[in-house]
Formats: sequence, C-alpha cells, structure tokens
Amino acid sequence: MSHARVVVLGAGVAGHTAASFLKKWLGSAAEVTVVSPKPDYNWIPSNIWVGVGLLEPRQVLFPLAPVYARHGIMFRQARALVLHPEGEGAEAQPFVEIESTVPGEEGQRTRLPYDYLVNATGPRLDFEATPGLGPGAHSHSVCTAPHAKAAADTFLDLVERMRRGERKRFVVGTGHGTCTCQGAAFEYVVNLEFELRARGVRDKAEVVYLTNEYEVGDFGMDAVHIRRGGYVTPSKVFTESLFAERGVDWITRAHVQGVEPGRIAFETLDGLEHDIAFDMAMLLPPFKWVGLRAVDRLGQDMTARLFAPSGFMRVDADYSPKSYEAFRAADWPRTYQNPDFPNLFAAGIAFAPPHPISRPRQSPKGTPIAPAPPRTGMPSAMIGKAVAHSIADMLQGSPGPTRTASMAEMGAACVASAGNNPFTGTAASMTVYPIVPDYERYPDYGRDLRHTFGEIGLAGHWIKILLHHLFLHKARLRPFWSLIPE
Amino acid sequence: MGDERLHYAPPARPQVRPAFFATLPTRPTRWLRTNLLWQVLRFAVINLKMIRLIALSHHQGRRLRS
Ligand SMILES: Cc1cc2nc3c(=O)[nH]c(=O)nc-3n(C[C@H](O)[C@H](O)[C@H](O)COP(=O)(O)OP(=O)(O)OC[C@H]3O[C@@H](n4cnc5c(N)ncnc54)[C@H](O)[C@@H]3O)c2cc1C
Repeated sequence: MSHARVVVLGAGVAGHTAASFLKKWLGSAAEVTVVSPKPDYNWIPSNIWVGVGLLEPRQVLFPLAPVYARHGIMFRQARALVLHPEGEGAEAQPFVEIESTVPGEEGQRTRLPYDYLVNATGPRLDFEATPGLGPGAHSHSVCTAPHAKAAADTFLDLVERMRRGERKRFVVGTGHGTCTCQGAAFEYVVNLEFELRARGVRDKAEVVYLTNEYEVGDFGMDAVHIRRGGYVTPSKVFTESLFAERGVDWITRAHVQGVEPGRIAFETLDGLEHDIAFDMAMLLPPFKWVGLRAVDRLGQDMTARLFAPSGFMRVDADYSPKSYEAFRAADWPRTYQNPDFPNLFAAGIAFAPPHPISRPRQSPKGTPIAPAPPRTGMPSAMIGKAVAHSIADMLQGSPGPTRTASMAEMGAACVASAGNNPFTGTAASMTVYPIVPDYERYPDYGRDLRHTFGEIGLAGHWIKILLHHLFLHKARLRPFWSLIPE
Repeated sequence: MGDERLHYAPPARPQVRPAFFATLPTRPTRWLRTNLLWQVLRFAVINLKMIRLIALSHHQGRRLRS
C-alpha cells in the first residue's frame, strides 16, 4: 500500500471519530487530513449546561490543531465547497475544493486530492427556514457554544429581573415543523426549569414547551415503549409526567411560522393558527445540508447524483419513495458507501436517511408537521468508526466495505439531564434498541423491550457527568482514548 | 400576524392544563430518585444495561467480508 490520502470533512462526533481511528489503524501508511471550518471541537451535549449559565464555553470546547498535531493527523481549517469525485479533465485524481476560514486567509481556495473521502459535515442550522428565528433574530439556540452562551446571558438577566418581582415566560422547543433533535430541547427546558428553582425564582416564571412532535416523548423516533410497573408504557407518559411534576406546560403538533420580538406565531396540525408571547425563547432550527456541491470531470454539476433532494449524501440506503406503512428497517444504510463512488462515504448527520422514523403528518393547509429522523451522538460515532474500519480494510486490499453500522441494527443510550446538582439533580437515562424500529423482528413495538428501558434519577445525572469527562478525554485523544466506547 | 389567531394564555384552572391528564410520581418514587443508597445501586444497574446495549450494537455491526 503506497501513501494513501484519506480526507475527512468535518470534525464533529462522526468526523473526529473516523479520523482518529483511521490514523490509529493506518499509521504512517496513510495521510489523514481533517477539514473543518472551526478551529475547535465542541462537545455539543454539554452546551445545554452552557445555556443555563452553569458551564463556560471553554469547558465544552478545545482547539483541534494541537491534538491532531500530536497524533499525526493533518488539519485544514477550511470549509469544503465542491467535490470532484471524477477528477478534472484528463486528470482522474479525485479532489475536494476547500476554502480557508483562517483569520486573514478567508476565502483562499485550494484543492485537496484524496483516495478516500468521508463526508461528516453534519447539519447547517437552517434558521432562515422560519422568519425571525435564531440568535441573529428574536430567539435563542443552544446548538453551538456561542449560541448557548448568548442564551445563558438572556436567562441570567431575566433571573435578575424576576428577583426584582417581574414575571417572565420562557418558551422552549422546536422552531419549525420539520425539526429534529427534540431530545436537546427537552433537556434544555427541564434544565432551565431546574435552574429557575435553584435560583429561587420559579414562582415568577411560566415555562412552556412548544414542539412539532405529535406527542411529547416522540423524539423523532416514533416514541419508545418500555416495560415498567406492570405495563408497557409509551415515552409520552414519562415525558408528560416529568413536565407535569415540574409545572411545565406543553403544546404539541406545532409548526412555528415566525418569531417577532416577544411573540411566536405557530400553526398546529389541525390547521389552526396561534400565537404565544414570550420573554425568552429557545427554539431549535431545522437541519439542512451544508451546501456541498459535486462536479463531474467536464465541470458539469452532478450534485443531484451524489446528494439526495434533502442535500444530504446518498449512501447504500433504499431511497425509493414509500408510504409510512411500507417503511422497512432494511431501507436504512449499513456501510455508508456512496453507490456511484466506492471511495466516498458519509457519516453522522451528513448521510441522507431513506425516510423519517416518526410518522409523517401534514396540516389541512399542507404544512408538514413531523420530526425529521434524529442521528444522535452514539450512532454518529459508531458510523464514523465503522466507515474508518472499512476504509482501512479497503486500503489493505478488501474489495469493499467490511463493517456495517445500521441504525436499524444498533441501539442508542441517551442520558438527558434534568437538573445539574450532585445530590438533588436528576437525569432520564434511556436505552433504545434498535434506533430505527424493526417491525419484522419486533412486530408489536418495533423494538426489543429487553434492551429498551428508561428511568429517572440522580444516578443518571452522575452518568451524564461521567460521560462529559469521558467523551472529552476521548475526543482529546488522551491515553487509552480508543478503549472508551462510542 | 393577524388577529384571527388564537392567543395562548396560561390555563386558568388545573383541569385545563395538559398536566392534569399526566401520570405523577408518588412521594416514595420521588424520594427514591435522589436517595443516595438506592441511586448508587441504580448507577451500577444502568451502567450494566448500557454496556450490554453497546456490546449488542457492536456485535450487530457485523463484518461483511474477512
Ligand atoms: C444542544 C444539543 C444537545 C445534544 N445532546 C445530545 C446528547 O445528549 N446525546 C447525543 O447522543 N446527541 C446529542 N446531540 C446530537 C449530537 O450533537 C449530534 O448527533 C452529533 O453532533 C452529530 O455528529 P456529526 O459529526 O454528524 O455532526 P456535527 O457534530 O455537527 O459535526 C459536523 C462537523 O462538520 C463541520 N462542517 C460543517 N460544514 C462543513 C464544510 N462545508 N466543510 C467541512 N466541515 C464542515 C462542522 O464544523 C463540524 O465540525 C445534541 C445536539 C444538540 C444540538
């Protein structure tokens, strides 16, 4: 094997995992280059605590360049723009066009040749989908550390005003009918409520959860059922219970149409239009593709061949259009290899899912109001690792991908913090198996109830703290990092 | 944003709150959630369940060719 060039686009959970394992397994046999527009790694799940003022952004961020330098991984602080999987003209060498984001060098374009490429560019936060949505306009987000910091500043300011006797309304949830990542909005609302209590102003606050889910606890996974207390119970029951106990009201089946200063307009699945006044709103944006394009060797646009209409990259999934009743677990990708270009893979949020997991629904006006499929940290990392394994094996002579990581064959463990305190805090710990329901194997609920469970308690909070430190240790590639599971 | 919209107002009576129809934990359930001894035990149990799930998921991540 000569000196192979592997390029990884994106340094989030999926890209960082893929690059780290590629270098570990290939060593000096390959040059591994990571391209990411931001100089830092962000442990996103802990942004929730930044958003209520409990952590500073520097506690969830660290610079990537020194970590990669220590481990022999090349790092280019740049944004990938155009893939040239066929090369250009007579030159068949594939390459990707990147644009520097280094201060002082912004906009400088270079070509990065590759033998294998992993697209792990994650989502673009599509605040523009809803007028007035986002930190640049009238609502907050916790999707990045700076967004979470801005949310915390507003939150702490309002706490001060409530201490002076003012009443405030907090609205937390999803900012569009097609949002995903409801778990993050759920975590933020319960943490915010906990902090209001901890800061002695709960009686001055009204907290409302506004979501595109059909029922709370759907989480874009068509809900989860668990055995508990002599019943098989849907996640709606536990989620509602958590909210009811904390005095959080909820509005479901909502598509946010627009945000004005202090007012959110939304449509519900029954076609009615509503509005709600707020003093602080944290509404997640829908996720969109990052805008990567593809061009063939003659310079003609071939974006539609490589990417699905959603903009995410086509992989080995079954993309034929089907009704909800016809969705199958086997539609989901297993190797994440692009069907046209065997040296192209997509990992994490960057791959195009074949269809939603939750039932698609529309209002009488035709507005889609249903969650997009989530791709959380654990599957993103497992996919990144499987892709790295396949590429390493292919470079060593395997004719095709050797590893699979189907979301219909893997579970997810998730710990949603519900209050950060070592003695009085709690968290909802959940495992789901498999993530994508498989009604052929598990006809009743699509999931194996022996491995699907959930419970609320302080132990979950300790696990959340442990995960924060373990995953930051792993991401920093410190000793024994590879032994920490995804 | 026109005036034909329904304006959200905080529910005036508990019976019209969505929470009225939710399941609520009893006092012993809440107590157990932060009881140190019980939670140390749960910490071990939840970790084991998660490790089992991770092992199962990795096992499912099969080798296609050797
Ligand atoms: C607030 C919040 C809380 C969450 N909490 C949890 C949790 O508790 N547990 C859990 O499992 N999951 C959680 N998630 C979901 C989890 O963060 C995502 O599943 C995970 O980050 C997806 O990984 P990824 O690598 O696909 O994308 P990302 O982590 O978003 O990484 C994408 C990378 O690509 C880079 N990039 C973007 N555009 C380009 C470009 N053009 N060229 C090159 N690089 C580019 C980005 O800078 C970034 O480095 C949470 C998400 C949010 C928003």
